[in-house]
Amino acid sequence: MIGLHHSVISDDSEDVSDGVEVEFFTDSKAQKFKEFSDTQLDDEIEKYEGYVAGTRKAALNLPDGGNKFTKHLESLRSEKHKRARKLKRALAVGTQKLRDIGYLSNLGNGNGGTRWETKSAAQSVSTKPQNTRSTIKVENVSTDISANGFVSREASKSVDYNNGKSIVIIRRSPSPEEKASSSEGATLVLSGEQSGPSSRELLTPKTPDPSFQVDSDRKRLVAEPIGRSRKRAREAEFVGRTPDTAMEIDSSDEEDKTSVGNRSSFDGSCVEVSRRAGLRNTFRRRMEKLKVKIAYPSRTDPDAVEILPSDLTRLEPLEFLNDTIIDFYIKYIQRDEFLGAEGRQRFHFFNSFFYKKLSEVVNSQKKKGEAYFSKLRKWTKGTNIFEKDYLFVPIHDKLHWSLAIICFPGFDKGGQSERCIIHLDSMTHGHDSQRVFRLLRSYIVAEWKHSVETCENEADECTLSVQRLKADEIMCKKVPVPLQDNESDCGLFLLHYIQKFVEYAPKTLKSRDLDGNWENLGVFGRDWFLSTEASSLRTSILEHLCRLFKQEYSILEQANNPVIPLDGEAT
Amino acid sequence: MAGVEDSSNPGVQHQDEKKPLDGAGQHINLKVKGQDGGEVFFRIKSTATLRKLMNAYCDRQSVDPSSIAFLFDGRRLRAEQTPAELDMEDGDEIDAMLHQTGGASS
Repeated sequence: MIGLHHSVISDDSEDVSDGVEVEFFTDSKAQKFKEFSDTQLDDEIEKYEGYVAGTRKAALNLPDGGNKFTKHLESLRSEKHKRARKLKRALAVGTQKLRDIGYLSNLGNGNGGTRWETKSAAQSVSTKPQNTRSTIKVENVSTDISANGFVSREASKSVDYNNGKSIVIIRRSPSPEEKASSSEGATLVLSGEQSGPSSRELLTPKTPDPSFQVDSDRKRLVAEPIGRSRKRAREAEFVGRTPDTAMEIDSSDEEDKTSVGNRSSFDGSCVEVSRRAGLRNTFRRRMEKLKVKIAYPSRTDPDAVEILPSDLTRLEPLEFLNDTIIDFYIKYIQRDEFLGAEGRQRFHFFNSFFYKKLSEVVNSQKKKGEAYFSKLRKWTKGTNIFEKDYLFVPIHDKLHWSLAIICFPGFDKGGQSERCIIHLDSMTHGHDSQRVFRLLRSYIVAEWKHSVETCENEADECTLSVQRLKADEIMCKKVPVPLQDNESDCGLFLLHYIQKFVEYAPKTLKSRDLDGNWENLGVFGRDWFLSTEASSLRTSILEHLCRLFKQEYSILEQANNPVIPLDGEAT
Repeated sequence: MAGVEDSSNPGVQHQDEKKPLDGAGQHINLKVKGQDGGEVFFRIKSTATLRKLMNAYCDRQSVDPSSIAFLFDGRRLRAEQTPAELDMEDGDEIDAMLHQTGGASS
């Protein structure tokens, strides 16, 4: 509890200890843990616990008896606690119920600290205990996960200023520190409730206060700067992204949606997001019912990707992407506005099944001793892969997506570039790069051999390419790239790698370029882009698709024949 | 008119029962190859949509049609396409592959 205690008093406690530490914990070291992921932080805490109290203590013979370690451990713990509180804050307050809140009191200005908030709650309770008991109904709101702790805070403030009778009770399980300072009144109310550690909930009356709507303009003035609350809402959105329940509730309740609507302008994105999710669900079901399908880029395109409404579910938060979405977006990247004719000439994009097919072919070759690459050759019908600068191969295996790029398969004759295969994986223990390299090498070698043979048969123009290619001549490298920070976004990372790479694809590439000087190269490296950039693709792809579905739907409607092309063939 | 010839298995006909083609490009034989290497042969009118072939294949293999992607020369097939518009020829092979989803390595 020491650690917790520490953090309640002062969130900046680690700065204090920094001052004391002279050498060992320099600022950078002490501050570094702020950037740790949660697991890293846990590991670090465990490590230092070992130093301070555990088995590893004996190994240390420090003059100060491990004081520094204790302090560092304290700051680590306080950091952990801070994060836990941040998360809880985001989780605790129910979105759906907030719109009903009429009786709100001053919850503090967001910087006031917890003690102050609790006090204010206690005050309101003690002034009107009767009222509280009789009119307030406890809503079960803890299942709603959203960032609206901030919203309630702002809303409450303004209502309180305009409206003397408002009451809100913040329910918190008091930490020792708070207990000492909070009044009996608060404890009285609290005692009846079962509340999780430091969860903050609102006890709200059923009837909405009309003044709430009236004050909506005022609210903005009193509220924290909008940008800031948005930012926090967004942060919290990333922290607690399981809006599945929230979505369902939203979609089933038309009235809720509208009442949230007039607030969304300052709510931050979260309510808006779940509201949209609800609308999307309804939208998707309608599309499913009408059997609307889209073919991208067009129905006449032989390589078109067909997307069904059910594929949209793959883009809901935490869902895994499927091959359809991957193939759709790879096609989308090839659109004129983005890639252009020149780009299409330089790049070739295999579809998401190519790699699987390739591994089938290579496996059957092992078994039967003969190659079936001729079958695979049809996949690139009309394309000479050796004229391309880069070939993109999406890799799927064991519920994971990664990307391989075959660079200059045809080997630039001017010696400017070297043939190589690059593997980009958003997880450290994702796909086995060696297997990827082995398969792709054998593909390139077989294709090269084939193209040389055809050349020899046809004419002797291609003297330069009549060099034998051996698999071990192809350089292979797994390059560092930004990693996913969750268990669901690898498909998005694969797409974002492609997107970013085609934008800055180097004109020439040599193996020594891949040694780590990523800034010069313009691509790759752990800091290539922010991981949130890739994760946010989820929403933008969904928006593209919804737009396409709407277009398709309106076309069908115009034709006054919404389902004919789909049900045309009677059984 | 059903797009796929009927036999004991609706929509499925084995190659050895192949009838002579009545008129150029009227019926063609197509092979659907699963990822386990299993092959199923179909005889289909070249102007009929592939929906029946897909459904018949999934019925026969007892799999959910939404879990399978059909590919011809690496191109994803749609149910409303016909062999004729895809320039399919007698004896061509269609790949039936399981849809792939992924988010993190298992």
